Amino acid sequence: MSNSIEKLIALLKADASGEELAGLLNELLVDDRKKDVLLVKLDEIRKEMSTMNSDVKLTKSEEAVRSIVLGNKKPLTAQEVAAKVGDEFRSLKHVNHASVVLNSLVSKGAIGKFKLGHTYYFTSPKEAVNELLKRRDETPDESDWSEIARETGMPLATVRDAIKELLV
Amino acid sequence: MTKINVKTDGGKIRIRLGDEGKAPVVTGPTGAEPLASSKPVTTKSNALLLPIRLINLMEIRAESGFRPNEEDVEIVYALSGNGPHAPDMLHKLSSQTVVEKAADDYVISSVRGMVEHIIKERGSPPKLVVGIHTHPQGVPKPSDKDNRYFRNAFDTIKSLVPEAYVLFGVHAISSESIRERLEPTRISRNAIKWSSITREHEIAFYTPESNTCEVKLVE
Repeated sequence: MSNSIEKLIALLKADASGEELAGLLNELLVDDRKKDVLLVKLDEIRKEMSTMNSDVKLTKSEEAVRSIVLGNKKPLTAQEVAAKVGDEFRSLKHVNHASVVLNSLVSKGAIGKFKLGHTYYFTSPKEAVNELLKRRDETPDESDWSEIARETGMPLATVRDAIKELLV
Repeated sequence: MTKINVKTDGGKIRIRLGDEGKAPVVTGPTGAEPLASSKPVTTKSNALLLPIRLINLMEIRAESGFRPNEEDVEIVYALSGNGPHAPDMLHKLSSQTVVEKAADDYVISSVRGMVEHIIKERGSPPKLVVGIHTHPQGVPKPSDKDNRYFRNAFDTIKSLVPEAYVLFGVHAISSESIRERLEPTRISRNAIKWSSITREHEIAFYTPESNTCEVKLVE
């Protein structure tokens, strides 16, 4: 038996969710078609998991915008962010450019986003997830992480961390 | 570091904190038993000891009743506890067996259904039941109808769980607009106020006779 397989067995045995994970893997591995899709999905997940590390790379303009959003006590619109940007990042004073940077930060899990009426607001991931839970009539301990990630544009891992923060 | 245990259930993720984590306050629908705190909170007075962590769940529950482009409606929920003054579980009470009808200024709920729901979710009769309803864009004071409801509901609750300490709460919520989050603070003997990033909340607690009931925030 290879080292990887032995390690997987040990990890599954040690994990509280090990039995559930093993059941899902068994179900998917016995069918060639499902197994191929699983491999592709696992590779996608591995890429997404890179955002779980705290060393997500941000550009200087992203750092500036992130500081504005997280340093503000109220959620901000793209227009409000553009109005607060200093002269060092003049292009960010254009709402369209500010929007691009804001959405890039959301996709990296550095900030969160939610919609109120027809307007998107940017805030911390925790507050964004909290707002989504209310709109979806869910609770932190029983929620659909995939849907919240889809609706906010945040990585699944960031949604998971925000939910955990809301529970503890 | 606190570990969480994750279970999937048809898209929904159910999670529980690991044993080594800080004992959480929990919502009922998970079917999870209420987790006792390692250091039970006690008081010599009759004050309700409201954990700050429970307030976030109350905020989510109260605001989840609102839908875009629809009139705001009153909703009901309940807190329960193993001790007479320390709630440790929130019950959503959204099932039709509990809530019969909801409008902007009233909600018709089945008290018997509520108590049965609480007992089922806790797995045993509670020592504390706090029945709460919201006042959208209102004040946290009971109306004459509420006063009558408190007395009638108290009789029903006591007939089902005679040992339970029974209180009521009125949870006022503002209209929706972007604002700063303000942490919960006690603003009077029986009332707590805080703000989410979209609504202001104020909740006040009362005895079945509609007298004010002291509340204290606890970690």
